[in-house]
Amino acid sequence: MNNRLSGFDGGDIGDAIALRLQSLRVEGKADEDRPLLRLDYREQAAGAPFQFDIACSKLHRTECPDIPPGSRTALYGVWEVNDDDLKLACGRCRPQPVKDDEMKKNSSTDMMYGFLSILDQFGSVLVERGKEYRNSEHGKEVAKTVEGILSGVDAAQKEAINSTIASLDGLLRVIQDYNAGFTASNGNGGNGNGAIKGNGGINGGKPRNPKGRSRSKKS
Amino acid sequence: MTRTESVLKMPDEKFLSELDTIMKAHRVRVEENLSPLVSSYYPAMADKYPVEYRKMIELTTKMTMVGHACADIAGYPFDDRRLTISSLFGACCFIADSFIDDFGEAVAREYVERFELLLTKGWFEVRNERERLFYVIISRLFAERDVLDPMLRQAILGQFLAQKRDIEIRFEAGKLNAMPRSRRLNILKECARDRGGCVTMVLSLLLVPGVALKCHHLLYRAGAMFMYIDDHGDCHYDLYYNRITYMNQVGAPLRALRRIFNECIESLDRGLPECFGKKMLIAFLYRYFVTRLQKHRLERNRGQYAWTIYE
Repeated sequence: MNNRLSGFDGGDIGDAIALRLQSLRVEGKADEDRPLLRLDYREQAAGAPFQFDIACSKLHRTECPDIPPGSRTALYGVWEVNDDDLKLACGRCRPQPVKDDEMKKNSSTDMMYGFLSILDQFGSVLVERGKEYRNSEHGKEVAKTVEGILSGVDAAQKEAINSTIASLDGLLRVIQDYNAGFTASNGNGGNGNGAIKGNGGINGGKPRNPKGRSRSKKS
Repeated sequence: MTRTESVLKMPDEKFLSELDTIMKAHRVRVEENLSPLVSSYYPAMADKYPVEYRKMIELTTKMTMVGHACADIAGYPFDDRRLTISSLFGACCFIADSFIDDFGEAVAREYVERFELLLTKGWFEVRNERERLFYVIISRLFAERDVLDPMLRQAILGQFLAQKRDIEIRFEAGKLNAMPRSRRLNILKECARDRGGCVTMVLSLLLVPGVALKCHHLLYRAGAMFMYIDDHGDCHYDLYYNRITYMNQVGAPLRALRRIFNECIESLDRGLPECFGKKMLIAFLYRYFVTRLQKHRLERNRGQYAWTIYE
Protein backbone atom coordinates (compact mmCIF):
# COMPACT_ATOMS: atom_id res chain seq x y z
CA MET A 1 0.00 0.00 0.00
CA ASN A 2 1.30 3.44 -0.83
CA ASN A 3 1.55 5.38 2.42
CA ARG A 4 2.16 8.73 0.77
CA LEU A 5 -0.64 11.23 0.91
CA SER A 6 -0.27 14.50 -0.99
CA GLY A 7 3.46 14.65 -0.35
CA PHE A 8 3.24 13.41 3.25
CA ASP A 9 5.17 10.34 4.22
CA GLY A 10 3.28 8.04 6.58
CA GLY A 11 6.39 7.68 8.75
CA ASP A 12 6.95 11.42 8.91
CA ILE A 13 3.38 12.02 10.01
CA GLY A 14 3.73 9.31 12.64
CA ASP A 15 6.98 10.89 13.85
CA ALA A 16 5.35 14.30 14.06
CA ILE A 17 2.44 12.89 16.09
CA ALA A 18 4.77 11.00 18.42
CA LEU A 19 6.91 14.08 19.02
CA ARG A 20 3.85 16.28 19.47
CA LEU A 21 2.40 13.94 22.08
CA GLN A 22 5.58 14.29 24.10
CA SER A 23 5.57 18.05 23.82
CA LEU A 24 2.00 18.14 25.17
CA ARG A 25 3.33 16.96 28.50
CA VAL A 26 6.08 19.57 28.51
CA GLU A 27 3.51 22.25 27.71
CA GLY A 28 1.33 21.05 30.58
CA LYS A 29 -1.46 19.96 28.25
CA ALA A 30 -1.25 16.33 29.26
CA ASP A 31 -1.14 14.96 32.76
CA GLU A 32 2.33 13.49 33.30
CA ASP A 33 1.09 11.37 36.18
CA ARG A 34 -1.13 9.44 33.81
CA PRO A 35 0.65 6.99 31.53
CA LEU A 36 0.71 7.50 27.79
CA LEU A 37 1.95 3.94 27.31
CA ARG A 38 2.94 1.64 30.11
CA LEU A 39 5.24 -1.18 29.05
CA ASP A 40 6.28 -2.14 32.56
CA TYR A 41 4.69 -5.51 33.24
CA ARG A 42 6.51 -6.50 36.44
CA GLU A 43 3.43 -6.53 38.64
CA GLN A 44 1.36 -8.66 36.24
CA ALA A 45 4.32 -10.95 35.46
CA ALA A 46 4.85 -11.65 39.16
CA GLY A 47 1.22 -12.80 39.32
CA ALA A 48 1.46 -15.13 36.32
CA PRO A 49 0.93 -18.85 37.08
CA PHE A 50 4.34 -19.80 35.65
CA GLN A 51 7.81 -18.33 35.42
CA PHE A 52 10.16 -19.25 32.62
CA ASP A 53 13.80 -19.17 33.68
CA ILE A 54 15.28 -18.16 30.37
CA ALA A 55 18.86 -18.55 31.57
CA CYS A 56 18.42 -22.22 32.52
CA SER A 57 15.53 -23.03 30.15
CA LYS A 58 13.29 -24.26 32.95
CA LEU A 59 9.57 -23.66 33.38
CA HIS A 60 8.48 -23.27 37.02
CA ARG A 61 5.30 -22.63 38.90
CA THR A 62 5.59 -19.09 40.18
CA GLU A 63 5.91 -20.18 43.80
CA CYS A 64 8.51 -22.90 43.08
CA PRO A 65 11.34 -22.89 45.65
CA ASP A 66 13.76 -24.38 43.13
CA ILE A 67 14.15 -21.21 41.07
CA PRO A 68 17.88 -20.44 41.38
CA PRO A 69 18.78 -17.04 42.89
CA GLY A 70 20.99 -16.32 39.88
CA SER A 71 17.96 -16.59 37.60
CA ARG A 72 15.83 -13.99 39.42
CA THR A 73 16.75 -11.38 36.81
CA ALA A 74 15.99 -13.77 33.96
CA LEU A 75 12.42 -14.79 34.78
CA TYR A 76 9.51 -14.25 32.41
CA GLY A 77 5.90 -14.55 33.52
CA VAL A 78 4.02 -17.09 31.40
CA TRP A 79 0.23 -17.53 31.35
CA GLU A 80 -0.28 -20.33 28.87
CA VAL A 81 1.86 -23.37 28.23
CA ASN A 82 1.73 -26.03 25.52
CA ASP A 83 3.08 -29.58 25.36
CA ASP A 84 6.45 -28.42 24.03
CA ASP A 85 6.81 -25.93 26.87
CA LEU A 86 6.04 -28.68 29.37
CA LYS A 87 9.14 -30.55 28.19
CA LEU A 88 11.04 -27.76 29.97
CA ALA A 89 9.05 -28.21 33.20
CA CYS A 90 10.80 -28.15 36.55
CA GLY A 91 10.87 -31.65 38.05
CA ARG A 92 10.03 -30.39 41.49
CA CYS A 93 7.02 -28.10 41.01
CA ARG A 94 5.75 -29.88 37.84
CA PRO A 95 3.75 -27.08 36.20
CA GLN A 96 0.54 -28.10 34.45
CA PRO A 97 -1.63 -26.11 32.04
CA VAL A 98 -4.30 -24.05 33.75
CA LYS A 99 -7.55 -22.90 32.24
CA ASP A 100 -7.14 -19.17 32.05
CA ASP A 101 -9.48 -17.50 29.61
CA GLU A 102 -9.62 -14.36 31.70
CA MET A 103 -7.14 -12.35 29.61
CA LYS A 104 -8.71 -13.40 26.32
CA LYS A 105 -12.20 -12.57 27.54
CA ASN A 106 -11.20 -9.14 28.68
CA SER A 107 -9.00 -8.09 25.79
CA SER A 108 -11.73 -6.40 23.71
CA THR A 109 -13.09 -4.63 26.78
CA ASP A 110 -9.57 -3.54 27.70
CA MET A 111 -9.07 -2.18 24.21
CA MET A 112 -12.31 -0.22 24.49
CA TYR A 113 -11.23 1.23 27.82
CA GLY A 114 -7.80 1.99 26.36
CA PHE A 115 -9.37 3.91 23.50
CA LEU A 116 -11.65 5.77 25.90
CA SER A 117 -8.72 6.67 28.12
CA ILE A 118 -6.86 8.20 25.17
CA LEU A 119 -9.88 10.23 24.17
CA ASP A 120 -10.31 11.23 27.78
CA GLN A 121 -6.68 12.20 28.17
CA PHE A 122 -6.25 14.03 24.90
CA GLY A 123 -9.86 14.78 23.91
CA SER A 124 -9.76 18.55 24.15
CA VAL A 125 -6.34 18.70 22.52
CA LEU A 126 -7.57 16.57 19.63
CA VAL A 127 -10.58 18.83 19.09
CA GLU A 128 -8.41 21.94 19.26
CA ARG A 129 -5.86 20.47 16.86
CA GLY A 130 -8.59 19.25 14.55
CA LYS A 131 -10.05 22.75 14.22
CA GLU A 132 -6.63 24.27 13.51
CA TYR A 133 -5.71 21.53 11.07
CA ARG A 134 -8.95 21.71 9.13
CA ASN A 135 -8.26 25.37 8.32
CA SER A 136 -4.55 24.98 7.53
CA GLU A 137 -3.15 24.62 4.01
CA HIS A 138 -2.03 21.05 4.75
CA GLY A 139 -5.43 20.23 6.19
CA LYS A 140 -7.18 21.49 3.09
CA GLU A 141 -4.84 19.45 0.87
CA VAL A 142 -5.47 16.33 2.88
CA ALA A 143 -9.23 16.99 2.78
CA LYS A 144 -9.10 17.12 -1.02
CA THR A 145 -7.14 13.86 -1.14
CA VAL A 146 -9.50 12.17 1.28
CA GLU A 147 -12.48 13.33 -0.79
CA GLY A 148 -10.72 11.89 -3.84
CA ILE A 149 -10.23 8.58 -2.10
CA LEU A 150 -13.82 8.51 -0.87
CA SER A 151 -15.14 9.14 -4.39
CA GLY A 152 -13.28 6.01 -5.51
CA VAL A 153 -14.61 3.58 -2.92
CA ASP A 154 -17.64 1.39 -3.44
CA ALA A 155 -20.89 1.56 -1.49
CA ALA A 156 -19.97 -1.18 0.99
CA GLN A 157 -16.63 0.51 1.79
CA LYS A 158 -18.38 3.86 2.21
CA GLU A 159 -20.83 2.30 4.59
CA ALA A 160 -17.98 0.81 6.61
CA ILE A 161 -16.24 4.19 6.81
CA ASN A 162 -19.47 5.93 7.80
CA SER A 163 -20.19 3.42 10.52
CA THR A 164 -16.63 3.81 11.87
CA ILE A 165 -17.00 7.58 11.94
CA ALA A 166 -20.41 7.20 13.61
CA SER A 167 -18.87 4.92 16.24
CA LEU A 168 -16.11 7.43 16.95
CA ASP A 169 -18.66 10.18 17.18
CA GLY A 170 -20.70 8.07 19.56
CA LEU A 171 -17.68 7.42 21.71
CA LEU A 172 -16.87 11.12 21.83
CA ARG A 173 -20.40 11.83 23.01
CA VAL A 174 -20.06 9.15 25.68
CA ILE A 175 -16.85 10.80 26.87
CA GLN A 176 -18.43 14.23 26.88
CA ASP A 177 -21.46 12.96 28.81
CA TYR A 178 -19.17 11.15 31.21
CA ASN A 179 -17.07 14.26 31.77
CA ALA A 180 -20.14 16.44 32.22
CA GLY A 181 -21.52 14.03 34.80
CA PHE A 182 -18.18 13.70 36.52
CA THR A 183 -17.46 17.41 36.77
CA ALA A 184 -21.04 18.12 37.94
CA SER A 185 -20.84 15.47 40.65
CA ASN A 186 -17.51 16.92 41.80
CA GLY A 187 -18.71 20.50 41.70
CA ASN A 188 -15.94 21.41 39.28
CA GLY A 189 -16.72 23.80 36.48
CA GLY A 190 -13.65 22.86 34.42
CA ASN A 191 -13.31 22.28 30.72
CA GLY A 192 -14.68 18.77 30.76
CA ASN A 193 -11.37 17.03 30.62
CA GLY A 194 -10.03 15.99 33.97
CA ALA A 195 -6.72 14.92 32.47
CA ILE A 196 -5.55 18.30 31.30
CA LYS A 197 -3.49 20.31 33.68
CA GLY A 198 -2.85 24.00 33.64
CA ASN A 199 0.76 23.99 34.76
CA GLY A 200 3.67 24.93 32.55
CA GLY A 201 5.42 21.55 32.35
CA ILE A 202 8.94 20.83 33.47
CA ASN A 203 10.96 23.32 31.47
CA GLY A 204 8.61 24.61 28.84
CA GLY A 205 10.05 22.23 26.23
CA LYS A 206 13.20 24.24 25.73
CA PRO A 207 16.18 22.07 25.00
CA ARG A 208 18.53 22.01 27.93
CA ASN A 209 21.80 20.26 28.38
CA PRO A 210 22.64 19.93 24.67
CA LYS A 211 25.21 17.22 24.31
CA GLY A 212 28.69 17.36 22.93
CA ARG A 213 30.35 14.64 20.96
CA SER A 214 29.32 11.12 21.79
CA ARG A 215 31.83 8.33 22.12
CA SER A 216 29.70 5.24 22.17
CA LYS A 217 32.24 2.49 21.93
CA LYS A 218 30.56 -0.69 20.78
CA SER A 219 31.15 -1.72 17.21
CA MET B 1 46.01 -18.22 14.13
CA THR B 2 46.38 -18.67 17.89
CA ARG B 3 45.89 -21.87 19.84
CA THR B 4 42.58 -20.52 21.19
CA GLU B 5 41.13 -20.07 17.74
CA SER B 6 42.44 -23.37 16.43
CA VAL B 7 40.63 -25.51 19.00
CA LEU B 8 37.24 -24.19 17.94
CA LYS B 9 35.12 -25.89 15.34
CA MET B 10 35.56 -23.54 12.44
CA PRO B 11 32.72 -23.02 9.95
CA ASP B 12 33.81 -23.73 6.38
CA GLU B 13 35.41 -20.92 4.38
CA LYS B 14 32.73 -21.04 1.72
CA PHE B 15 30.00 -20.34 4.25
CA LEU B 16 32.02 -17.59 5.93
CA SER B 17 32.40 -15.97 2.53
CA GLU B 18 28.64 -16.26 1.99
CA LEU B 19 28.16 -14.66 5.40
CA ASP B 20 30.34 -11.72 4.35
CA THR B 21 28.26 -11.27 1.21
CA ILE B 22 25.03 -11.22 3.24
CA MET B 23 26.57 -8.76 5.69
CA LYS B 24 27.62 -6.40 2.90
CA ALA B 25 24.10 -6.46 1.47
CA HIS B 26 22.59 -5.82 4.90
CA ARG B 27 24.98 -2.92 5.52
CA VAL B 28 23.71 -1.19 2.38
CA ARG B 29 20.08 -1.72 3.41
CA VAL B 30 20.73 -0.57 6.97
CA GLU B 31 22.18 2.67 5.68
CA GLU B 32 19.22 3.13 3.35
CA ASN B 33 16.93 2.75 6.36
CA LEU B 34 18.81 4.93 8.81
CA SER B 35 20.35 7.64 6.66
CA PRO B 36 17.04 9.48 5.96
CA LEU B 37 16.18 9.43 9.66
CA VAL B 38 19.57 10.83 10.63
CA SER B 39 19.31 13.50 7.91
CA SER B 40 15.86 14.53 9.09
CA TYR B 41 16.27 14.44 12.84
CA TYR B 42 19.97 14.61 13.73
CA PRO B 43 21.95 15.70 10.65
CA ALA B 44 24.98 16.63 12.79
CA MET B 45 25.58 12.97 13.48
CA ALA B 46 26.51 12.24 9.88
CA ASP B 47 28.11 15.66 9.23
CA LYS B 48 30.11 16.30 12.39
CA TYR B 49 30.54 12.86 13.91
CA PRO B 50 31.05 10.54 10.93
CA VAL B 51 32.96 7.99 13.01
CA GLU B 52 30.05 7.66 15.39
CA TYR B 53 27.65 7.42 12.46
CA ARG B 54 29.73 4.62 10.89
CA LYS B 55 29.83 2.81 14.22
CA MET B 56 26.05 2.99 14.42
CA ILE B 57 25.77 1.52 10.92
CA GLU B 58 28.19 -1.28 11.84
CA LEU B 59 26.44 -2.17 15.09
CA THR B 60 23.10 -2.11 13.34
CA THR B 61 24.42 -4.30 10.53
CA LYS B 62 25.43 -6.85 13.15
CA MET B 63 21.96 -6.62 14.63
CA THR B 64 20.46 -7.40 11.23
CA MET B 65 22.71 -10.47 10.92
CA VAL B 66 21.49 -11.76 14.27
CA GLY B 67 17.92 -10.80 13.36
CA HIS B 68 18.22 -12.62 10.04
CA ALA B 69 19.35 -15.78 11.83
CA CYS B 70 16.61 -15.48 14.49
CA ALA B 71 13.84 -15.04 11.92
CA ASP B 72 15.05 -18.02 9.92
CA ILE B 73 15.34 -20.19 13.03
CA ALA B 74 11.74 -19.31 13.90
CA GLY B 75 10.70 -20.32 10.38
CA TYR B 76 10.07 -16.90 8.86
CA PRO B 77 11.80 -15.08 6.00
CA PHE B 78 13.99 -12.10 6.78
CA ASP B 79 11.99 -9.79 4.54
CA ASP B 80 12.10 -6.01 4.12
CA ARG B 81 9.95 -5.37 7.15
CA ARG B 82 12.12 -7.50 9.41
CA LEU B 83 15.21 -5.79 8.06
CA THR B 84 13.64 -2.42 8.87
CA ILE B 85 12.74 -3.58 12.38
CA SER B 86 16.29 -4.85 12.94
CA SER B 87 17.71 -1.56 11.64
CA LEU B 88 15.52 0.48 13.98
CA PHE B 89 16.32 -1.74 16.92
CA GLY B 90 20.08 -1.62 16.27
CA ALA B 91 20.06 2.16 16.03
CA CYS B 92 17.86 2.42 19.12
CA CYS B 93 20.33 0.31 21.15
CA PHE B 94 23.31 2.26 19.83
CA ILE B 95 21.89 5.68 20.71
CA ALA B 96 20.56 4.52 24.10
CA ASP B 97 24.04 3.16 24.90
CA SER B 98 25.60 6.47 23.91
CA PHE B 99 23.38 8.33 26.42
CA ILE B 100 24.53 5.97 29.14
CA ASP B 101 28.20 5.61 28.21
CA ASP B 102 29.40 8.91 26.86
CA PHE B 103 28.46 11.79 29.13
CA GLY B 104 29.57 10.83 32.62
CA GLU B 105 27.91 9.49 35.73
CA ALA B 106 25.36 12.21 36.44
CA VAL B 107 24.01 12.19 32.90
CA ALA B 108 23.97 8.38 32.79
CA ARG B 109 21.94 8.24 36.00
CA GLU B 110 19.55 10.88 34.73
CA TYR B 111 19.03 8.93 31.52
CA VAL B 112 18.29 5.78 33.48
CA GLU B 113 15.54 7.69 35.30
CA ARG B 114 14.20 9.08 32.04
CA PHE B 115 14.20 5.66 30.36
CA GLU B 116 12.32 4.29 33.37
CA LEU B 117 9.72 7.02 32.95
CA LEU B 118 9.50 6.17 29.24
CA LEU B 119 8.85 2.50 29.99
CA THR B 120 6.53 2.98 32.93
CA LYS B 121 4.53 5.95 31.63
CA GLY B 122 5.49 6.49 28.00
CA TRP B 123 6.77 10.02 28.58
CA PHE B 124 10.11 11.19 27.23
CA GLU B 125 11.01 14.85 27.09
CA VAL B 126 12.90 15.50 23.86
CA ARG B 127 15.61 18.06 24.63
CA ASN B 128 17.96 17.97 21.66
CA GLU B 129 18.46 16.45 18.22
CA ARG B 130 20.11 13.28 19.45
CA GLU B 131 17.14 12.64 21.72
CA ARG B 132 14.76 13.50 18.90
CA LEU B 133 16.35 10.88 16.65
CA PHE B 134 16.23 8.35 19.48
CA TYR B 135 12.58 9.00 20.22
CA VAL B 136 11.54 8.89 16.56
CA ILE B 137 13.35 5.58 16.14
CA ILE B 138 11.77 4.09 19.25
CA SER B 139 8.29 5.26 18.29
CA ARG B 140 8.68 3.80 14.78
CA LEU B 141 9.92 0.57 16.30
CA PHE B 142 7.01 0.36 18.72
CA ALA B 143 4.60 1.04 15.88
CA GLU B 144 5.87 -2.03 14.00
CA ARG B 145 4.61 -4.55 16.53
CA ASP B 146 2.18 -5.03 19.37
CA VAL B 147 4.55 -3.84 22.07
CA LEU B 148 1.93 -4.67 24.68
CA ASP B 149 2.43 -8.38 24.03
CA PRO B 150 3.25 -9.72 27.53
CA MET B 151 6.48 -11.47 26.52
CA LEU B 152 7.79 -8.56 24.47
CA ARG B 153 7.08 -5.95 27.13
CA GLN B 154 8.76 -8.12 29.76
CA ALA B 155 11.78 -8.46 27.47
CA ILE B 156 11.97 -4.71 26.84
CA LEU B 157 11.82 -4.00 30.55
CA GLY B 158 14.33 -6.78 31.19
CA GLN B 159 16.75 -5.11 28.80
CA PHE B 160 16.33 -1.81 30.63
CA LEU B 161 16.79 -3.42 34.06
CA ALA B 162 19.96 -5.18 32.91
CA GLN B 163 21.29 -1.83 31.68
CA LYS B 164 20.33 -0.17 34.95
CA ARG B 165 22.09 -2.88 36.94
CA ASP B 166 25.20 -2.41 34.82
CA ILE B 167 25.18 1.32 35.57
CA GLU B 168 24.81 0.67 39.30
CA ILE B 169 27.75 -1.73 39.21
CA ARG B 170 29.79 0.79 37.24
CA PHE B 171 29.21 3.70 39.58
CA GLU B 172 29.04 1.81 42.86
CA ALA B 173 32.05 -0.42 42.39
CA GLY B 174 32.89 -0.09 46.10
CA LYS B 175 29.88 -2.20 47.08
CA LEU B 176 30.87 -4.88 44.65
CA ASN B 177 34.50 -4.85 45.69
CA ALA B 178 33.47 -5.48 49.29
CA MET B 179 32.00 -8.84 48.28
CA PRO B 180 33.91 -12.13 48.10
CA ARG B 181 35.57 -12.59 44.72
CA SER B 182 33.41 -15.53 43.61
CA ARG B 183 30.20 -13.65 44.45
CA ARG B 184 31.49 -10.58 42.63
CA LEU B 185 32.30 -12.60 39.52
CA ASN B 186 28.90 -14.26 39.59
CA ILE B 187 27.15 -10.90 39.68
CA LEU B 188 29.25 -9.56 36.82
CA LYS B 189 28.69 -12.70 34.78
CA GLU B 190 24.92 -12.59 35.31
CA CYS B 191 24.85 -8.91 34.46
CA ALA B 192 26.63 -9.51 31.12
CA ARG B 193 24.39 -12.52 30.45
CA ASP B 194 21.24 -10.43 30.97
CA ARG B 195 22.53 -7.43 29.02
CA GLY B 196 23.29 -9.54 25.97
CA GLY B 197 20.50 -12.07 26.37
CA CYS B 198 17.76 -9.45 26.61
CA VAL B 199 18.95 -7.78 23.41
CA THR B 200 18.42 -10.93 21.33
CA MET B 201 15.22 -11.67 23.23
CA VAL B 202 13.72 -8.28 22.33
CA LEU B 203 15.01 -8.46 18.78
CA SER B 204 13.63 -11.95 18.16
CA LEU B 205 10.25 -11.02 19.65
CA LEU B 206 10.06 -7.90 17.52
CA LEU B 207 10.85 -9.98 14.46
CA VAL B 208 8.74 -13.04 15.22
CA PRO B 209 6.19 -12.72 18.01
CA GLY B 210 5.37 -16.06 19.59
CA VAL B 211 8.77 -17.75 19.41
CA ALA B 212 8.80 -21.04 21.40
CA LEU B 213 10.17 -20.91 24.95
CA LYS B 214 12.96 -23.37 24.17
CA CYS B 215 14.09 -21.24 21.28
CA HIS B 216 14.06 -18.15 23.50
CA HIS B 217 16.54 -19.75 25.86
CA LEU B 218 18.96 -20.56 23.05
CA LEU B 219 18.72 -17.13 21.48
CA TYR B 220 19.17 -15.58 24.93
CA ARG B 221 22.27 -17.66 25.37
CA ALA B 222 23.61 -16.56 21.98
CA GLY B 223 22.96 -12.94 22.96
CA ALA B 224 24.84 -13.41 26.22
CA MET B 225 27.73 -14.89 24.22
CA PHE B 226 27.87 -11.80 22.02
CA MET B 227 28.15 -9.70 25.17
CA TYR B 228 31.00 -11.73 26.68
CA ILE B 229 32.86 -11.50 23.38
CA ASP B 230 32.13 -7.78 23.15
CA ASP B 231 33.39 -7.18 26.68
CA HIS B 232 36.59 -9.08 25.94
CA GLY B 233 37.14 -6.99 22.81
CA ASP B 234 36.55 -3.81 24.83
CA CYS B 235 38.60 -4.99 27.79
CA HIS B 236 41.34 -2.33 27.59
CA TYR B 237 38.93 0.49 26.87
CA ASP B 238 36.72 -0.53 29.78
CA LEU B 239 39.63 -0.79 32.18
CA TYR B 240 40.89 2.63 31.09
CA TYR B 241 37.50 4.08 32.12
CA ASN B 242 37.33 2.00 35.32
CA ARG B 243 34.41 0.03 34.03
CA ILE B 244 34.48 -3.47 35.43
CA THR B 245 33.02 -6.41 33.58
CA TYR B 246 33.18 -10.15 34.04
CA MET B 247 35.64 -10.41 31.17
CA ASN B 248 38.11 -7.92 32.60
CA GLN B 249 37.90 -9.32 36.15
CA VAL B 250 37.98 -13.07 35.63
CA GLY B 251 41.39 -14.77 35.84
CA ALA B 252 42.64 -16.18 32.51
CA PRO B 253 39.93 -14.40 30.48
CA LEU B 254 40.81 -16.04 27.21
CA ARG B 255 40.43 -19.50 28.67
CA ALA B 256 37.14 -18.49 30.33
CA LEU B 257 35.81 -17.01 27.10
CA ARG B 258 36.81 -20.07 25.10
CA ARG B 259 35.03 -22.35 27.59
CA ILE B 260 31.82 -20.28 27.53
CA PHE B 261 32.01 -20.07 23.76
CA ASN B 262 32.40 -23.81 23.26
CA GLU B 263 29.54 -24.57 25.67
CA CYS B 264 27.32 -22.05 23.90
CA ILE B 265 28.08 -23.33 20.40
CA GLU B 266 27.51 -26.91 21.52
CA SER B 267 24.20 -25.95 23.06
CA LEU B 268 23.06 -24.06 19.94
CA ASP B 269 24.17 -26.91 17.71
CA ARG B 270 22.27 -29.44 19.80
CA GLY B 271 19.14 -27.41 20.52
CA LEU B 272 18.33 -25.33 17.44
CA PRO B 273 16.42 -26.83 14.54
CA GLU B 274 18.48 -27.61 11.43
CA CYS B 275 18.14 -24.59 9.15
CA PHE B 276 20.10 -21.84 7.45
CA GLY B 277 19.53 -19.52 10.43
CA LYS B 278 21.23 -21.92 12.82
CA LYS B 279 24.25 -22.22 10.55
CA MET B 280 24.29 -18.46 10.13
CA LEU B 281 24.08 -17.74 13.86
CA ILE B 282 26.87 -20.15 14.74
CA ALA B 283 29.12 -18.93 11.92
CA PHE B 284 28.48 -15.30 12.81
CA LEU B 285 29.28 -15.97 16.47
CA TYR B 286 32.50 -17.63 15.36
CA ARG B 287 33.38 -14.69 13.13
CA TYR B 288 32.62 -12.29 15.98
CA PHE B 289 34.74 -14.29 18.39
CA VAL B 290 37.76 -14.29 16.09
CA THR B 291 37.54 -10.60 15.16
CA ARG B 292 37.11 -9.53 18.81
CA LEU B 293 40.12 -11.55 19.89
CA GLN B 294 42.04 -9.60 17.26
CA LYS B 295 40.51 -6.38 18.55
CA HIS B 296 41.57 -7.26 22.09
CA ARG B 297 45.17 -7.70 20.93
CA LEU B 298 45.21 -4.60 18.74
CA GLU B 299 43.68 -2.33 21.38
CA ARG B 300 45.97 -3.42 24.18
CA ASN B 301 47.83 -0.12 24.39
CA ARG B 302 45.31 2.31 22.98
CA GLY B 303 43.28 3.13 26.13
CA GLN B 304 40.97 6.06 25.56
CA TYR B 305 41.77 6.02 21.84
CA ALA B 306 40.33 2.52 21.45
CA TRP B 307 37.47 3.73 19.34
CA THR B 308 38.18 2.14 16.02
CA ILE B 309 35.36 0.91 13.83
CA TYR B 310 35.30 -2.88 13.61
CA GLU B 311 33.09 -4.87 11.27
